[in-house]
This record gives sequence, structure tokens and C-alpha cells, in this order.
Amino acid sequence: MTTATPRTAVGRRGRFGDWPIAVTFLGPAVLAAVLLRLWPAARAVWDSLRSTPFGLAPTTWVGLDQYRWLFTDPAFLNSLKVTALFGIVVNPLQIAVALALAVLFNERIRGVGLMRTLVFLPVAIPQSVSAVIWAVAFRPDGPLNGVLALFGLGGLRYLTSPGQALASIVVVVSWIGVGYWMMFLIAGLKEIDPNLYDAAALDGAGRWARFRYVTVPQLRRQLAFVLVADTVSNLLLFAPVQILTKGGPDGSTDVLMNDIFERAYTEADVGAAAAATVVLTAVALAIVVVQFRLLSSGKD
Amino acid sequence: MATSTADRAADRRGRCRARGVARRRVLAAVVAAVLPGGCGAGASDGDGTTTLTFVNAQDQGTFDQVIAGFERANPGIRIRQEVVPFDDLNSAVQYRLLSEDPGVDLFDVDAPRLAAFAARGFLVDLGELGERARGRVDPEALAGTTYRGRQYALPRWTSTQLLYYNRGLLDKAGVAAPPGDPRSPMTWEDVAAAGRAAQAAGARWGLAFDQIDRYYQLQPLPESLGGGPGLTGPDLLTPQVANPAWVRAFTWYASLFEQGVAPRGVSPEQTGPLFASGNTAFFVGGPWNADAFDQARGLDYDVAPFPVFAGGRPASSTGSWATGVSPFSRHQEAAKEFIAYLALDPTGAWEASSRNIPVQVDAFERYLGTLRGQGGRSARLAEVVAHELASNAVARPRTVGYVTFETAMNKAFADIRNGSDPERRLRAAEAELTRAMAKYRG
Repeated sequence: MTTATPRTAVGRRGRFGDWPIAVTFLGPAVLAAVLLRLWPAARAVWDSLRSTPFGLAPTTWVGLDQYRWLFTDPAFLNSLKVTALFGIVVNPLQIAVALALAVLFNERIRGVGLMRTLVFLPVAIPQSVSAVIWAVAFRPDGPLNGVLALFGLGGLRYLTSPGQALASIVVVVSWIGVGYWMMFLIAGLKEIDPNLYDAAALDGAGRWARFRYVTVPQLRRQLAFVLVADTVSNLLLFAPVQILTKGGPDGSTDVLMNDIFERAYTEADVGAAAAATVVLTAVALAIVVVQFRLLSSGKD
Repeated sequence: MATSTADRAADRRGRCRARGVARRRVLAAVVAAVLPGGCGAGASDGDGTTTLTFVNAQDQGTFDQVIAGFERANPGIRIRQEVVPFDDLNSAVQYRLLSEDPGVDLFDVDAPRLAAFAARGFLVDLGELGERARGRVDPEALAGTTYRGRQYALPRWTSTQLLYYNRGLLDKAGVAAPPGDPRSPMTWEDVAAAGRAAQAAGARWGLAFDQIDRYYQLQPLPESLGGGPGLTGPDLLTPQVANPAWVRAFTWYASLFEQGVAPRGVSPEQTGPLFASGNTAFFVGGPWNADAFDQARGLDYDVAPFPVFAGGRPASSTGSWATGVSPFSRHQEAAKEFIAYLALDPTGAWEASSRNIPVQVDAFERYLGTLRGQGGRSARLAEVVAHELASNAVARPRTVGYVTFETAMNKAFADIRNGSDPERRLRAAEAELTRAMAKYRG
């Protein structure tokens, strides 16, 4: 006995099979990716190989000399160093605090909803406004030093000290970021099967053991996302630096995005700015690839 | 027929340029669609009225009078202002011009930046407006807004610096008031000592600079000691900011902050209120600051000439804002009409002055006459202004590398204020500038 069903199905889909539907659904996303991601990236690479010191004047081909010049520029090398230092400190710090708060606020304790909201609240404030608020707090005669004085402690210099400015930026960025990343981790915690904790408890696991052997492995996917997204977002840090320090004092907060902004919109050196952007993108891709590898190599 | 290699290369360059322009237009269209500033800017309205967008960094209300006067005289043209913060003007304008945004018709140009802006293609040659300005505008200010013999903007104002002092705080400290004679300035060393004495008697701060960390206000310090403006050589592209005079000047500057005579951690926008609130003994600023000080309740202040280093020569800042036309404006002729009104017309220039010093010759005389007519400290202010402009003004260097120079120096000044060793930081700035300026030498 034969059936006509397969032939009818093929006929309904037409000679192009599933392609028209696939193209309809994927088209907008692919178009957006090309227009908003690939084309600007290709444009940045092209611009980085050309140069003019005079903004709108016609550019000339300089090729890799642009990168050679950039990698011998002490200001750019300093930016790479500052960005690396910032990333090494801020990413583990934010994720550790976000995880600790997520675990804490996942417990059934009184007022947890309010506390969670308070930690999340800075996310709703634009970065530029947060920076302005912190600029007042960090003033040498500002409220933070006022609090220290209440306890008989000497004031700190915060944004005016090369040794404290980057740490101050870390505080501002974490104030905003911790609550945001915490929410993803809380969502992950809610998905963990409570039976796993019960089973672990029956096996005699204490709080730390349950956290180490149940919570962390079960949160792997959320942690992977937070780690990658947080790293990339901190790599692109700009507004607080531009508003609070403009890269100073002594270049101690001159992260890559600030360096790129100054090359493009202060110096009008589009070629050098594009080259620095290409370097930044390459660094971001390299970090993300390594992070994905590390996170996918372990077993649950 | 074979074409030469040079012809083919020129043709390729031409095509490349055309593609570049096309790409920029696409970008400009996207920017115009996305940015609120692009909507309706530079537009011809339905009723035939042309609306011009004027991007500037002045206090709210500065241009209200001159815009009202111009619109009365030119019913077909409307001026819409976009006011951006002072520190953001340069980057905001460059960002929009690099993307060929037609939403900017006119913009504020800080006169020493003109050469850099003109070389970058950001300004329209004003042509015959430059000719019309001769005899009506101060020739020095007019020369400051030309690049390679062409007039790229018209100057509105000039500026100078004064020493404001709080009479009550000095009296309390038993410190003699500075002499008001424009030819007898205090020394910087004496100002710092008097400031410290006032602090000992209760003042919060001894001395505050209006434009803290900005080359504009700090250039006279090394100039007073014979250290020059910081740029020398052909086309002023060779930095010289670490000679003994510069090091001495900025060692003194650093000591003000190290000793707590002047405040760290404040922005230029916050320094005026420090004096207006009656807590600061001395304030170095421009004539424009007087307005806010007059309105400050209970502030008993007076003015004295800009100080000089002991053994040095008097030197004070000068130069100010000009107005230019964007090459991407669709209403360049209307924009030039507005510039002609606010820069060349005696009434327009007076309306546009707003407590600044107009460079239009009739408006300048009216400015001084008005101040002298008010008597008291206004008259003393007029005498200091007239003397400083005539005898002590040191212009900022006119060079295509000025934006690069000023950016690097402002950062160095901020670092020195925050505690960097002055000599080491100035040497670092010189090395950085030597490298950065090389690109302008071709």
C-alpha cells in the first residue's frame, strides 16, 4: 500500500522547501546583523588602514603603519594596561558580589523583596546621572569624607589621586552593575530543583558544600552568560570615565573606550580611532572565546 | 589612449573621495534620522521661514537679546539654539560635522581652535564678510579668525582676566587690599600669601581660578616668567612646555593645591560659586564673572589687575568666541546674515555681548562707556580691562595643532593640580606632544 502524504507535503512546501519561511523569519535578524554589526566592523577595519590628520580631508592609505604607530604610542599602551587592570578587578568582584547577593536574596527572609529592589534600583538610573551623583560623593569635601571624619579618619582623595581613581570608578560601575547581574543569577537560582538540595542534605552536605556542589554547577549557564556579558560591558565602559575623570589623573583611568573617543572626537583622527576600535573588538572576541571554552570544558 | 599612472591614481583618488562622500551622506542621513538634533534643524518651514540651528556653549539666555533683534530685522529667518556644556562643545560639533550632519548651521568656535577646524574642513570660508569686517572689528581679533588668508569665522568677543577679591575676608585677616591701579598688579607670590592669611582668619579658600586646568587661563603664568606660550618653531608645531619658566610657574601652581590654598576636586563650573558664596579670598576670572558676583547676596568684592610673578612681566589671557558656518548647512547665506548682524552691526554686537567684551569697535566703546558710567568697581573693572587688552594680552598660539596641544596641556594641568610632580608631568606632556604634532608636519 502506498500513501500520497509525503508527495503532498513536498508539494505544499514548493520547490524551495522550507527556505521561504526560513528567510522570512531570519531575514530581519540577518539584515540587522549585517547592517549594525558586520558592516560597521568592516568599515572600522577599512578606516583603520587609512589616515588624515585633518578630519574631513581625503584620507591616504597607510595600511598597517597605523597599527605600528598605535602600538608604539605610550598613551594607547597605557589604555590597554588600564583596561586590563580594570577588567581583572571589576569582573570577578561584580560577579562574586552579585552571586553572594543573589544567594542571600533567594532565601526566605523578611523584607527580601525591598532589599532586592534597593540593590537593583541603580540600574534604572542612567550611567551619566549615577556618575554625577558619585562626583559629588567623591569630592574631597564631599559626604564620603564627611562620614570618614565622623569616625576620626582622614579623608581619601578618590578621583584626584592616581592611586585611587580607578578603584573609585570600580565602585561606581559596580554600584550600577551588581544589581543588574544579580537578577540573572536569582532567575537561575529559582530554576534549581529543590530536591537536589534535599538529596545533598540527606547525604550530610553542609551549607558550603551545597553551594559548592549544587548551586554553582546548576548555575553554570547563567554564570557563563553573566561572565561574558559583564566582561564585554566593562570593556566598553565610557560614560562614568568621561564624566568623572576624562581618563586622569596621570592616565590612571584612561580605559580604551575613552582613548578611542578622544582620538575620534577631540583629535578628529578617525583612522587611529578605527584602529583602536579594531583592537578593542579583537580583545573582546578573544576574551569571550576563552571564557566560553573554559566554561564549556568542565562537567556538571 | 593610455593614461599615465598619475592620472589613474588621481582618478582612483577621485572615485575614492566620491565614495567617501556618498558613505558620509548615508551616515549623515542615519544620524539625522536618529538624533533629535537632526529633526527639523536647518529646515525651511511650511510658511517660508528658514530655521537655523546655532550650536553653542554659552550660558542660557546669552543670545536671547541678539536673536530677538535679528529675527525682528529678518522676519524670514528663525534661530534655534542648541546649548551644550562647555567641555562637550568640541566633541559634539566634531561628531556631527564628521558625519556631515546638515542639522548644524552655525556654531561657536573658540578662536585658537579655528586653524585646526578650518584645516579639518569644518568651516565655510565667509568670503566678503571678512572684507566688510575691516574697520568695524578689532584687527587683532579678526586676524585670529583667519586661516591661510581666508576668513573662516567672525569674532564676537575678546576677553581678559582680573583679580577679584573679597574685601571683608581681607579686612578680617588684616591684609591690605590689592592696588586698583592697572599698572601695579600684585605678585602671584603675594596673592598666595594673602590667601593663606585670609584662611588663617576664617576663609575657606585663599584663591580660586575660574577656568581651573584650562590652558586659556594658565598660559599667562609661564608667559609672565618668559617661558613662552608652549609652542615654537615653524607653524608653531614644536612643543616647549618644560623649560625652567614653565617648571617654576607650575611648581607654584601645584603648591597652591598642595597647601590647600586652592581647592582640588572641583570643576570650572563650581569655582565661581566658591567666591560668590563669600568663602574665598581671591578669585581669578574674567569680566563675565562680575554679573554673578553682583547678584550674590552679602558679597563685598572689588577688582584688581591680573597678578604677575615677582620679577616677571605682566601677561594676561585674551581671545574669545567667534561664530562660524558649517559646510553642511543648507542655509549658508542666511547663516552668514546672522553672523553679520551679531559681529558687524553695532546694535547686534552690543546685544550679543552679554557682559563679555565685544570686538565690534562701536560696541566695544559702548561697553567701556557703560561700565565707566556706572562708577565704583564697574569703572575700575573697565580700566583694568582696557589696560590689560592694550598692554598685557598674550594670545593663544594659532596653529593647526592647537586642539591637540590644548587637550594634552589641560590634562597635564589637571594632573599637576592633583599632585603630579610638575617637572616630570610637563616633560611627559612635551614628549607626548612632540609625537602627536609630528602628523601635522606632514
